[in-house]
Amino acid sequence: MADPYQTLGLTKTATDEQIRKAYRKLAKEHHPDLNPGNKEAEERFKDISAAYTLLSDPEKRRAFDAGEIDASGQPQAERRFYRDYAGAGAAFRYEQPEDLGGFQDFGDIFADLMRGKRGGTRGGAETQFRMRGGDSHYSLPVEFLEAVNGAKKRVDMPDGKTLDIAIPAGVQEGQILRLKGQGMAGLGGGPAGDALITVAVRPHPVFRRDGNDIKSVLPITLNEALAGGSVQVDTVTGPVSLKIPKHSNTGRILRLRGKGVPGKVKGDHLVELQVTMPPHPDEALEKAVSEWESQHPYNPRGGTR
Amino acid sequence: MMFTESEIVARFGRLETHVLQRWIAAGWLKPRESSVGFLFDDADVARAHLIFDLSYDMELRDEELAIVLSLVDRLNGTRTMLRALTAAVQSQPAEVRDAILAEMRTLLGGEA
Repeated sequence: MADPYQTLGLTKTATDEQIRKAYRKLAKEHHPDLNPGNKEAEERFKDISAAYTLLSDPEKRRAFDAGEIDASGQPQAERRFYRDYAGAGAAFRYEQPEDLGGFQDFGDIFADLMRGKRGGTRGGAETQFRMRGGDSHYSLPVEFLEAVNGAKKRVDMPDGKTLDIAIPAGVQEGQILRLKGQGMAGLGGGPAGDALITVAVRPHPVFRRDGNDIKSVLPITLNEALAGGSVQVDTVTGPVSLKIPKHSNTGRILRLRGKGVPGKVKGDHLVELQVTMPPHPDEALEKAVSEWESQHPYNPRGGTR
Repeated sequence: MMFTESEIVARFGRLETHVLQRWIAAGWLKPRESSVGFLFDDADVARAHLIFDLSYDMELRDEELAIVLSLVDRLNGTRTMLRALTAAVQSQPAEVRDAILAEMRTLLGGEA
């Protein structure tokens, strides 16, 4: 038997990866079932397989390199290749009817010949293989409000496909939408695969999402904080009126029930108040507050000394 | 000689049962169905071995494998036809056979 390194076109220093690659390349070229009429292919493939069996096993390779065993290694089980059955009637169920019936471009002679023979096919007529197409994966950027309220989008995908995508209300960052049958085409009449779309939600300048709740910060004036009042506040479904209670501090959270993310469990909108100074310093205001505080001293840090 | 699913898996070593079942589901293998599960005859085993080589050693993905198998099946369909045709020509009286061969030579541009 030939030197296994030589059979694979390699030298003794070949790495495991080189051995695997060389084998794969040669096997594709010489596999008897890919060369059904070629007698030499079978001999060559047997040598390639034997060489690979020896060199891909670290212990056998070491033993061979050390001269402990010869290239023949262990006797290989005699193998019968598929081509021995196919094309000879024994594997008729796998040969495709459109090919046998389909010598139509040669005239009707062959179609008539094959007609009777099909009856013997095992398991009925579905000799042709079918395979479901692969799934296509996409990533889709979605605006914050589209993700919360849902939207319909027509999107041109990078592979040239145009998809109509219904974004369900309340969809979350990283959620995967499955569009049935919008993936790669099936083979042999098999169904198409699905398009799997990963949603990437863009951030919003005002709203943040926490589960099904929406959060936002609402700046209010000193007077609104002191005396309370009704102000307009934006929610994901539009502006609503919010009553600020008298004597409200920064950090106070007001809950707008049911104004969060829609869905079975409707979320709320949580508004966090932020008392805001007027835009410019004002002497009158300073004087008034200072006077008032000298009469009514208080220590908001009272708990910590 | 018939083999069961687990016998095939044991025989091929690296093959996993769920992979073999996927091949069957894809229609690449058509073993006989029986009360004890799938039964593979010699042709099924040889074909499973071919799919095993293509998948495990040549590292074809399923999409590519489906194309290769389809071509192999078409090729074998053609070979079946050609074999039958050859046998039919051989069984003809000498003058018919010669006439067919002469016509083929002409059609193939004198190289046959």
